[in-house]
Amino acid sequence: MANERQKRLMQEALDDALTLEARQALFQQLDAEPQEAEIYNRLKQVDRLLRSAPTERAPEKLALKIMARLAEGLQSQAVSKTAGMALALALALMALLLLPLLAAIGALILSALGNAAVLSDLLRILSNLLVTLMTGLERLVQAAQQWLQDYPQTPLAVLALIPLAIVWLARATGQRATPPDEA
Amino acid sequence: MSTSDPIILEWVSAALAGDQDGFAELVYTYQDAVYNLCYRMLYDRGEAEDAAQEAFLRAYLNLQRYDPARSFKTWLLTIASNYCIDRIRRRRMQWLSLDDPLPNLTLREDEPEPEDVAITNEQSKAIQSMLHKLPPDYRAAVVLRYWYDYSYVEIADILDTTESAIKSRLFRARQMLADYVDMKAAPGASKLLLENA
Repeated sequence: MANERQKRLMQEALDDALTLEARQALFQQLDAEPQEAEIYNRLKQVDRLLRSAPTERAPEKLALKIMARLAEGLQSQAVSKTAGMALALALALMALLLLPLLAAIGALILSALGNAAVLSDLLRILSNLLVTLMTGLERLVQAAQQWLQDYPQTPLAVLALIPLAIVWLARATGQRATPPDEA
Repeated sequence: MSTSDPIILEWVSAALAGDQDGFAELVYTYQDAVYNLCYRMLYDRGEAEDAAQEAFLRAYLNLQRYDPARSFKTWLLTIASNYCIDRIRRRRMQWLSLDDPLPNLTLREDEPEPEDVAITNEQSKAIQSMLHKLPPDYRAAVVLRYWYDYSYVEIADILDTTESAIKSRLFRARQMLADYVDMKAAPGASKLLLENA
């Protein structure tokens, strides 16, 4: 069997990377050893087949498709750029509108800290708000209890809907996560 | 690494300035080269077309990174070959299994005669299907060497590796292909190997 050096020389002979002397020496060696000559012939066969393989021509409309995709990409880029600018503008406008409100709140807090009567009014308003919220929640719980008494099958229906909702959510998330080229 | 023709550089400049016609000229000029590389790498016409489109779009998006001192074709083929290698890796490498059917090969020791053209074409198809069994890095080196006639140094530049690595990949790839040819030439060989396994 050919050793590594001989194999390397054979490969270099295929690439015309050997000097004339080295090439002649290799071929003399191959003449003397038919097994090695067989290995070289197989390599040469592969080399010849690879050299004779034709170039595949591009499909007829490839260039048109590329240019269409490019135009589409540039258009969507322009649209997203416009959308981005619109969003930035909207945020800036919102900040501008909120500025007086923030200034008023800041002034209120500052004056409340300096005035005990205003601070107590503020706390009263806050506690009233919390009481209203709690009352609303209590009524909601009462309504739910009443609903359960009237329709005892409701918890089972809700339980049955949970797996369906999970599957729907997973599908919706999966569709959004799939890259456009693999969709 | 040779530079591009002045007309190519002109089209690149036009494309950079936003002229899509300039880029269209580049696409028309190099579509066969890019498609052939993608086909030889991916061995599927549909995938090759998709990969060629992607390579051109990536080239357009990175056109400002192109160095006019380099050949535009080489730069484009670099993008295409890297994309194809990534794509193959993503769909998992496929190695030759002894159970896989081997293509029909007719080994002939003599020089090819004109009447052997049909056989040679069949053998080319067979080589393509065997090429598909090579690891993507080896395949890229073989394709760039045999279809584009690039030197070891140029292939190393395209695949971002060393000249000796490319030399080694080409040597091993040719040896692997010769082994496949050998297995097909001796029909009992694969059976024997399976029995001895």
